[in-house]
Order: sequence, then structure tokens, then C-alpha cells
Amino acid sequence: MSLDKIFEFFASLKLAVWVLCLSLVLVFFGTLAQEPLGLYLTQERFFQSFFVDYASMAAAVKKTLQMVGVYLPPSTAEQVLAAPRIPVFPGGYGLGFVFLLNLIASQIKTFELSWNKLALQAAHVGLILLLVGQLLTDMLALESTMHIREGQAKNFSELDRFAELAVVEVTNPEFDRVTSIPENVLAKEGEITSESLPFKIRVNKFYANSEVTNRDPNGTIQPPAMQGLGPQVTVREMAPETQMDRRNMPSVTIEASSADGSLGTWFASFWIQKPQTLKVGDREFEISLRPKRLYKPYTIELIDFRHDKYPGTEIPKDFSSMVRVVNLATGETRETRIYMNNPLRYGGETYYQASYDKDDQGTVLQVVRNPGWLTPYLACVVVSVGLLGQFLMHLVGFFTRRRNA
Amino acid sequence: MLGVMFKSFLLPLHTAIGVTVFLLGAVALRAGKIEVYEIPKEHAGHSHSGNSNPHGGTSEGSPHGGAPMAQPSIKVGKQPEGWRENPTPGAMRAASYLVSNAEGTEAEMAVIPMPGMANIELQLVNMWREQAKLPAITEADLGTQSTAVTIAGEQGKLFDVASTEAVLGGKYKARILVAMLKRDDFTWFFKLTGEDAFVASQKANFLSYLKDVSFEAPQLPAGHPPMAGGGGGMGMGMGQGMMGGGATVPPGTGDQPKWTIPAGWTEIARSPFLVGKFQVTGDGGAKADINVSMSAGDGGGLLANVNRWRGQLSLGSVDEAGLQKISAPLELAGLKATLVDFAGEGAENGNAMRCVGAIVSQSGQTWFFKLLGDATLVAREKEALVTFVRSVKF
Repeated sequence: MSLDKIFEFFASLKLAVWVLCLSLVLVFFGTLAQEPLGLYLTQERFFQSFFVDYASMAAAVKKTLQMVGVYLPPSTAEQVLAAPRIPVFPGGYGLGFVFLLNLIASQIKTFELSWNKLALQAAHVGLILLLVGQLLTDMLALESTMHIREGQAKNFSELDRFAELAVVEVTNPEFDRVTSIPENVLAKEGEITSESLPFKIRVNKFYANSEVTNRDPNGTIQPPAMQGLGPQVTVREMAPETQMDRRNMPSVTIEASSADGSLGTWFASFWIQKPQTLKVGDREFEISLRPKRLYKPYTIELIDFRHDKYPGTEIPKDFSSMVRVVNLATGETRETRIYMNNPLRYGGETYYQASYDKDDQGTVLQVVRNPGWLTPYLACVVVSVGLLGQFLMHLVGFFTRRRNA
Repeated sequence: MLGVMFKSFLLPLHTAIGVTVFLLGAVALRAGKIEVYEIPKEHAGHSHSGNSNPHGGTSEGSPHGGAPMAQPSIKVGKQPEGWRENPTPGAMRAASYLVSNAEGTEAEMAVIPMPGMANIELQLVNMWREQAKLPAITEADLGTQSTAVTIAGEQGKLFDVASTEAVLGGKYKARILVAMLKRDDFTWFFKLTGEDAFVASQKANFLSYLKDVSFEAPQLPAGHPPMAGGGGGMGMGMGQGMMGGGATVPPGTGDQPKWTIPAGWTEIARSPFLVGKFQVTGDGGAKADINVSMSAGDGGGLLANVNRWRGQLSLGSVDEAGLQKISAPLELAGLKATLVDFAGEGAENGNAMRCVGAIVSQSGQTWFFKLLGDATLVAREKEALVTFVRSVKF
């Protein structure tokens, strides 16, 4: 096939129609797959991939058949995770990428520098901007949560679904130095060095999900590590969680070693909230595995959480958090109320009211950082202007022809 | 001509867009690298509500997400020498410690506040005896099983259960020391378990701990109305709206799922540990209560809960086989549910009583619907309970 034919293929309107039809099918099956596979696995397998694999698609198809009365044993998330990833259908990234190529190629093909075509070109550029903007959002946007109790102030949010091994040097009386090792580095189970640490860390075993219990000192089960709390626990590897209201509880066993030799094996886990102390010479470190923290240069204090209901009913009327933002660097202090559709925008982040403690004395804010948040607005303006221009040109042309007829 | 020039310009332009996108993607992947940064000093305080948190801030409590759990709390006077906090204290514990000797022999001391637990002392003692592989005792022997002990200035009961054979790993004898104190809506258990001789050697430390411990006063938020029942109670730990001090919640307040209340049932004030409480009356002033409660996880397990209910009807515990005989699966759309039904007699007056309970598992939570009261009335209302459970929109 010559290059011209390839170009023609990518520039064709037929391809655009195919992509849109396949997108409809993908959204349909992706929606149904959420029931057996859960939201996060479905997102990953259907929309954040170039191809949908056979096992994921089979789970969606079985669910579809079940809805029309044909019952097949439903697939589980565990089966899908274990199955080989044989591509059977284009995924979200795949369709988006082809659509982007199609838009670019068709624009190149039809490009004419004339007033007549300008509006149409603008509409195409707007669509390209929209696609690129969504890709940017997907890659750069970060969603974390900040849980604050009334009267408490916090300067970090947490990525609940990502773990970090935090090695915090507490030697300096003025500040703590955090060395954060993310879970994808731990999962490689290799050797880790950092200039901030006077010792090397070797990851012996990383458990993406685990169950930790007290160890019977008279039992025969070997402890996962010999230092700190290691000898007091046993650990069991668990299948990854797929339910929305549950999360993985990762654990890790590490061995620390300095130039003088091994400093022993250590065990850290989401199950163990208390940091363990490791001393090297006159330097002191605290080790813990925790949800990845995103620190802010300001603090947010929860002054009051309100959960209003309609009088005489249990129907929620409003959830709101009265917070105080204190930024010591700028000397800024301000109080604001966060409630539905009225988030707090501060420091490049948006704080939404997301959840609350059942005793109504604590709030959970969703913290969204999205550097590309303006692109959809800009894209929509460009598309609108383009389509409006195109429409007006046709309208003017129509009236001109009528007048001349 | 200009058009051709512009066209030739478009390709590199779009290539540049692509390269930028991928560069930005690479920036996003920076999240997967080791980071080093400095933060202001922050340290967690000493907590005995089971929610100590690394490097300050609040923890999310429940390991599997959702709102953090509330726990009534205690204030420790003096932690005995050699006792260290348990890194994995487990659910329901207000505090937990481990103590070991040079040979590595270890014992655990757990402080567990349990709501209710009235009239089941015999079942509890027999449960501990069973753990020590000792024969069960009868009501008549119960009085000889405990001695008086001082817990936070109040008089509680101390049970000392020692095994006569090697039950720990088939090698060592076991001893269970339990101090029990009823305070308001809670029964507090201080339980030291481990190898016989070692637990005996820790008894003095255990008694000294009991003397020095104190119950924390409830910490109500500013403007919160005083709680009914008052009197000490337990401190507010984290989350989930569990209040101490014998507080009751008027009907129609607090988070409840949507349900249809059967005719004849009256919603009444409930303790903060219940999601709902109803009462129904029958002929001759007969009464039955319907309690609705919810626990994270399996709520301690079906068998343990059924045995607790059986204790309320002066019935002995059953094992898994016995449970099968008094339970049946309950058909509930898409949810796993069990219906249990058993009859006994009231602990106070010996009247014929019956209990029908529905236990429903959904989304990592377990819901308990318990109809308990006059045997005839409960038989009449059993169908209404099932209809009620089916009406719940979880």
C-alpha cells in the first residue's frame, strides 16, 4: 500500500464514522462490565488501553446476555486479572488515537487557506484540542482525598489507591526529611538507593494486597522480618480488591544495609499504622507504608462540618465543610464553606465535598489537580465559533442566492 | 501557493503537538519515582483508641476504606514495665499490649469494650473455659468463678481460667485472666492471655494496670447538646457516630437506609449503636423489640452473634452444626442472607420468649435485624420481619 493510500485511509470520513460507532459499542460494554469487574479494572481494561482483552470483553458480554435472560456464569475480576490479555476490540486510547489521526489527516487533506473553509477548520482544530485536552487530563490530573476531623488542620492529601514506603529522617529538630518510595518501585523487588539515606534498601517481597495478623510466638510460622514489629506479625498475600468500597492493604518486607553491613529485615504494612524506628549512627529514621501523601505549602483546618436535612425527614439537604486555609508563606488566612457545586479552588487544586464521617464530625474532601482543566472549555469555544461561522456563511450564501434569483 | 506552504507547515505542527503530549506524559510518570522532600515537624500523640497514625494527622480507621470506626477509649495511668503496644491490635480493641520474656514466651492483653452483653456471664465464662479446654460449668458454679477486682476505682469481677493440659501449640498450658466491668451501655473486658506460668507472673502488673486505668470522659463538639444518661461514658474516638454514656437517639434521626415499617410497629428511641429500633405489642401486654444494627466486615461472625442472642434467652451456645439446625437461607435479591429462629425463656422472669433474626451481608458490611420478645407475638410478627428486611434499600 502506498503512502498516499494510507493517508487517504486515515483521512476518510468513513473511518470517522467507524470510530464513532465503535466508541458507542465500547461505552456500552464498558458500562456493563463495571458490574462484574468494578470501576477501576473496567476503566483500565476498556478505556485506558489501546485494546480490550478477551476476558474483559467476555465479562461484559455475559452481563449483557444475562440482562436479556440468557444466563452464563459471570466472570470475576480475579479470573480477568489472571487471564492472558488477548486483544479483541479497540480500547479507549486506541479509538482516541485513531480519531486524532483521522482529524489531523482530514484537515491536512481538505486544508485551503480561504475564508470559506476557515470556520470548518476551526471546528476541526477545536475537536483536536478536545481530544488532546482529555489525554492531558488523563495523564496529568491527580485525584486525592483529604480527611479532616473538626478542629484539625492538615497540609497533605492522600492517594488512597497508591502506597508509598515513607522513610522519614527525624534527626533534625527543625524539620523532617521524607524519602518517599512509591509502590511501583517497591513492586520491582530490587535494590533502592537514595542520597538522602545512609543505607540501601532491598525489597525482599512486596504484597499488593495482604492480611496481617498477630503471630503466635509459640507457633511454627516464620515472621516476615526480624527487626521492629516484624517478629510479632504474620502476613498472607491476598487477591487484589475490585470492589469500590474496599481497598488493597499492601505490605512489604525490606532489608536495610549500610557500609558496615546489614541493619536487619523490616516489615511495613498498611495494617501497621505506627512508624518503626531505625537508627544508623546518630541519625534516626521512621519507616512506614502508607497511602501516598501529597504535601501542600498551606494547611486546611476544618472548623465545622454540617449535615442538614429537610425538616421532619431523613432526606439530606446539604453537606458542607467550613474550612480555614492558612498559608504561612503568603500570610494569607481565609475562611470558606465547601459544599455541593461550590468547591474551594486554591493553589492550583480544587477541593470538593466528597464524603463525611458518620458521626458528622469529620469531612472527606476530594482534591483534584488538573493542569489541563481549561482545554475542554477552550476547545468548546473554538468548535462553537467554527460551527457558528460555518452556519452563518451558509445562511448568508442562501439569502444572497435567493435575492439574486 | 500560500495554501501549500501552510499545508507543509501543518505536519510539523501536529508532530510537535504529539511530542509535547508524550513529554507531558513522561512528566506524569514522575509520580513513579523516588522523591525526597522536607516537611515541618509533626508527630502523632499517644493514642489508646486504636487509631495511632504515622507522622500525625488522622488515619482512615477502617482498613478497607469508608468512614473511620469509633471506639470508646481509656486513659492509661502507668504502662507496666515490659508491656509494649500491639502493632496490630485488631478490631474492637480500645487498647492492646504484648509482653514477652527473654525466652520469647508472649502474652497479649486486650481491652475490649462491648455494647450490651448483659446476662451472658455464664456463656462468656464457658467460652473462655472452652478456649482452655476445660469442661463447661453451670449457673450454680458461676459464683465461685470470679473474685472482686478494682478497675479504675470501681468494683469489677476477675476471672482466672487456667488449662490443665497443653493447649498452646500442643506444648504449653494456657491461662486467661479476664477483668470485667459493666459501665452504662458497655461491658469492658481486660483480657490477658498466654502461657500459664507467664500469665501468672504478669498478674501483679495486670492488676496494677487495672487500678491505674481510667475511662475518658466523652468529648462532645462545641454546641453539642448533653447526652442522655450522662455519667462518665466512653470518650469519642474516631468516626462512626458511636457515643458512650448510655445515650439514646430519638426515632427518626441519624443515618438509616430506606425501609417500609410494617403495620403495628412503632419506632422508638434507640441506643447509638443501633440503626433502628421498633416495638410491637400483642395481647395481654406482650411485647417484642426489633433491633437493627450494622457492623463492618462480618460483625464478629454469624455463630458468635447467634450465640450472644441465645444467651439473652438463657440458652446455651451452639456449634456450626447446631447453627445449621436453627437457621435457613433467606431469599433476598442479590444479597446473602440468613434467617435464624429459636425459642427460650426470659432471663429475668422465665417467660416463654423467642428470637427471630435476619443477618444480611452486603458491600463488606453485615446487617442484623433481630425480633426478640414474647414467643407468641414473635411467631405472629416473623413474617412482618421478613417483609421488613426485604423492604430495606441498602
